Amino acid sequence: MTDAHVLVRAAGLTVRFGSTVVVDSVSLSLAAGECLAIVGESGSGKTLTARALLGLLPDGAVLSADELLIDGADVRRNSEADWRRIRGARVGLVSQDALVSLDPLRRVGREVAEVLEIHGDPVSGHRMPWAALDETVTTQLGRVAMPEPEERARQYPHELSGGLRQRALIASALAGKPGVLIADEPTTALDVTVQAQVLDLLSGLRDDGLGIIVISHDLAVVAGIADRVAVMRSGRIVEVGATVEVLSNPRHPYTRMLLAAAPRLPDASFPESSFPEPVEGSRPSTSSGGDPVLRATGLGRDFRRPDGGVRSAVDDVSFDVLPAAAIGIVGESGSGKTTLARLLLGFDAPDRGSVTLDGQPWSGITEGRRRSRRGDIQYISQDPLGSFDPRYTVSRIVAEGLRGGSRLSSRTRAARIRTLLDSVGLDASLAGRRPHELSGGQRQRVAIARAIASEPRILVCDEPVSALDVSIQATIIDLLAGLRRDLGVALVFVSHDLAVVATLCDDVLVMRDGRVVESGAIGEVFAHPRHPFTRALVDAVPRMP
Amino acid sequence: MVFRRILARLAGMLVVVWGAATAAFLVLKLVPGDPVDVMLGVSAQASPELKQSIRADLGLDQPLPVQYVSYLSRLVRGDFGTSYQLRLPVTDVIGQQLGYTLQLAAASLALALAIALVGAVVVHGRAARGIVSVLELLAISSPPFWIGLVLLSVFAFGLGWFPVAGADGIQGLVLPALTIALPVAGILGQVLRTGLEDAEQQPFATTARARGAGPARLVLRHTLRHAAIPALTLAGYIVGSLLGGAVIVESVFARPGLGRVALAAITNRDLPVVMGIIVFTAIVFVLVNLVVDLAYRAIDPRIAAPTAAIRGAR
Amino acid sequence: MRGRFAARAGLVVAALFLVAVTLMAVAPGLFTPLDPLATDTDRVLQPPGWGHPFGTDQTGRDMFARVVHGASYSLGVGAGATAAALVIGVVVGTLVGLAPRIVDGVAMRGVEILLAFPEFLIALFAIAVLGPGPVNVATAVGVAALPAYIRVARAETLVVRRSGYVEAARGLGVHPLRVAVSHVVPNTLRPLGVIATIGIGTTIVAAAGLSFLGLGPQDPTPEWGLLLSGGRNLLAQAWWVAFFPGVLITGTVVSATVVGRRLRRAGEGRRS
Repeated sequence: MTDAHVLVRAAGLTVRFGSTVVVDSVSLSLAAGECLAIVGESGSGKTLTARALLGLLPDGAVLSADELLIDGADVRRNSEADWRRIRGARVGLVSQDALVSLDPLRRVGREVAEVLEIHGDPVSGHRMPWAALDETVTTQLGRVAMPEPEERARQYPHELSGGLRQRALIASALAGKPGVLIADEPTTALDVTVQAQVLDLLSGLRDDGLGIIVISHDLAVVAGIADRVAVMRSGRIVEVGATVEVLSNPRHPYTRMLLAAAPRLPDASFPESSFPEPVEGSRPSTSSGGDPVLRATGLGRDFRRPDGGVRSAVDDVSFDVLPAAAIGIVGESGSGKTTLARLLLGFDAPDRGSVTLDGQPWSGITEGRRRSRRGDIQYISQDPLGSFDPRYTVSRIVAEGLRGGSRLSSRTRAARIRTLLDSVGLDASLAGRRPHELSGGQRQRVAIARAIASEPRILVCDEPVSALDVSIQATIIDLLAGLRRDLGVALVFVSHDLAVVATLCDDVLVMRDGRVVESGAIGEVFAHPRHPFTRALVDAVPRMP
Repeated sequence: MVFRRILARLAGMLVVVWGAATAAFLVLKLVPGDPVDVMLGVSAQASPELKQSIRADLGLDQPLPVQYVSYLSRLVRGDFGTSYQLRLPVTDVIGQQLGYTLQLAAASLALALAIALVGAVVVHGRAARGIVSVLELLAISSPPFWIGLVLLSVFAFGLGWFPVAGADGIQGLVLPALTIALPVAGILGQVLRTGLEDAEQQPFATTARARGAGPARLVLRHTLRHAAIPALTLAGYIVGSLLGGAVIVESVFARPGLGRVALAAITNRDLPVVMGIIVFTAIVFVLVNLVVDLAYRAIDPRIAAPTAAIRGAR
Repeated sequence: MRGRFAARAGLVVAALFLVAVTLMAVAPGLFTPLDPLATDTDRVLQPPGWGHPFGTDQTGRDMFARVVHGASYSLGVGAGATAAALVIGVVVGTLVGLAPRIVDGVAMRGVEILLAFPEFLIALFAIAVLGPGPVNVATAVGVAALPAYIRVARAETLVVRRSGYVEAARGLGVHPLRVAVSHVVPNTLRPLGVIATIGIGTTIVAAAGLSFLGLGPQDPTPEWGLLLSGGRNLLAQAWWVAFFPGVLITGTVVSATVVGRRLRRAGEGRRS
């Protein structure tokens, strides 16, 4: 690789907030037509590293570097005005959620055009006349495979789907023809099938000679597109190398831990026998476990659309959950997973069909009659913080879950809470903390402790690990699997993440537009998907090489 | 679809005005005291027969529902009744004074907007913004009548730049308008500045900066529109402040206007004028609300059916 | 760093100011031995100086004593009307928040209309109905403050009612009454306390404004708004008569706002 092709070169890049070092002596380089991935968990400094390459650090951050070249020019002493000439023209930025990353009050075309209004024609640098501007916008939208680009340019971001929005954002970043594109979690907010399309698009741009720095928390997402991977932790790059090399032969323990923690989808090309046993000691739900704990029959729930029509969020869903079974419910956003979970929990009443709990009616009865039995079915949400009264301490939160909690003596209650905290792996010293003083993983553990306090027969979990870092995710999944084994509690696990479901569950329901399109044992469904949608879903899951 | 929405909108506006008229009618009927006594003045010695005939003339001897219906039908025809004190139709009383108050309100609004925009948009840097926010707090917290007195004593009595009282020309308008404008500018500036700062924190602002946008472009093309949305929410409140401020300022600066009329009517219990002013205010409010809704739609494409969320803020 | 120090110093000054004004209202004798009503024809319109820190008015009354004694009416009206409005507002707002949609819709439509007007204008209309007088002024500013409390109490009730933790409590089988007592009410009260602190200031200004217009207490009562209106005619000779009562009003309102905002920030910190 000759120097002429090097677009970005940094050495000893350091970012400080006061005396706190958040990016520590990072060195990296990027050549034209290359994709470098920076991977790390939240707080690893990956985003700040990328922002430093745009001169867009937050207030109070101080940048220093031994070397920082963009297009061969030293940018270390750049003024704000110098940086403005680089941004958009030499380095473009694409960030996570296009709904908020594109100005919601402006038309998509105006957003794409803005870079041209600022920097002028990418070739000549001259001011562009209106007509040429419109034409270039259409061309740019076409370049990112936007269907009907002229019409899309006149629409507002909220009128586009998530995938199209992300394409528009990429088009706006590329309109100034920069040599470098920084993509900060470009697919995190997208459904898995759309994510695959956007990654394809980026891959194609790279092949056309664009240099891309992609930032992600997910090794699997970048595995398919990155030529090289840099793993960041606590502000440092702990390992860097060719993607295949890093993934197949990780040298740093942290990389190994990340790889081990990442849930994987069983590989379809292997015979079924090679399936990793999901969790030690678990039984498939089809075993002769007795009568089902929970039975859903022909469940349906309708919502009225703003235009007066009716949309079925859940339609004709039937399944059984046997004692100690684990059933995954997968689907993309808007498929009705969460609505289904709320019906199972008796939070909403079904419009059609019924739910029984332990053979007794659960839907269609009054809340008063449900109340005494609520301890049998418990709920873990994606947002544990929101599910806690902000004034309560951890022990008070957990105590609320105890059956007849007010009748227990305070000593018995305290002992029960200690046992519960212990069983979810929380130190008793946290009992006096309030929710906002806990980490994300700790919060989810408190939520689990509260849920198992009533010794439920079944836990309904709605995306319980989606908001967590990969390494924390793995520990929570282990915890749930352990509870299932030790307490014999059945799990209904709602998730968009097929790999997580495959790690934890025996059976799976695949939902689309409110209906179950396919169901069966995990190995069978994911290895030999029969429904085209399941196949698309499975194919779109990013895989490690 | 659109037609139906406009109809619903107009119906809603009528309901508000009708509600205000009804409330004014009911409450004033509950007020203790005989309106005829008020009309004649406390000192007047009138025979019961004379009072009775005046009552019959005004329809005050009719049952309440009959009075209500005739009151509404007169309102619809634009007849707000006759002032007890001035012996003039209420519409004339309001009409004569409206011009002065409108002039004052318009000048105040323009001043307030100018001051707020300068404070929110032009002032940059942490220290300067801190000072501006303290000034805004002072402006919001100071009672308008005190602001008026301080301005008077400094600029009229002290420096002699402006007249002490009256409504003559631009000179006479400056201090009264400034008195009303300062608190309004304080609130508006605060809301605008918070809105701008919030918008600057949004990801789209980062995206715009990553395209090479400078501070001027960022504010003019992006964040100011976002900040205008919460500021619009204040529109009703601001119009109310202009009217309420007029009552005080017209009294402090001895200016003619609607505020003076209102104050006199309240002090002398001239009920038809009070009712007329309440209904007039309701109509103003409804019109402002309509304009605000249209402005929301123009600014924010995400609004399909806006709620009339107009509320006081502090 | 410097900004934070300034903010903290401002908070301390504001709190001290509120304490001082409260003491003036409760025990004016601590501040001045002079009688606010005692006239002295030898000492008419004295400028501020030793003996008369705020000067004297046209009948020789000590302005400092008048301002100090005026605190009790202004603060009494401010605190009393705010407390009454708060209590009524919480009850009505919570009930409306828990009521069926149609009741809620109608009630809130009305409240929204009232909220479109500044408190002062509503208070003025209320006086138009009730007639002038010191007690009616207190009632009027209380009525004017009411819609804001109703709206916030209702909004908070709705937020808390739809919150994750109320749903979680429901999922745990906690009785609705218990949910209301242990989750809904405590979590609604906190933000209301904050706006009530700020509201005391607004109420004081509104009451002083009505007095200024001559609709409240009458001379010789030492009331801040009334003192100001008395000073209006003396502006040419004696600026101090109108100046100092205004300083006290503004200081009280600013202090209440500063303390209230600080409380709000503390509350937000705990919530997020």
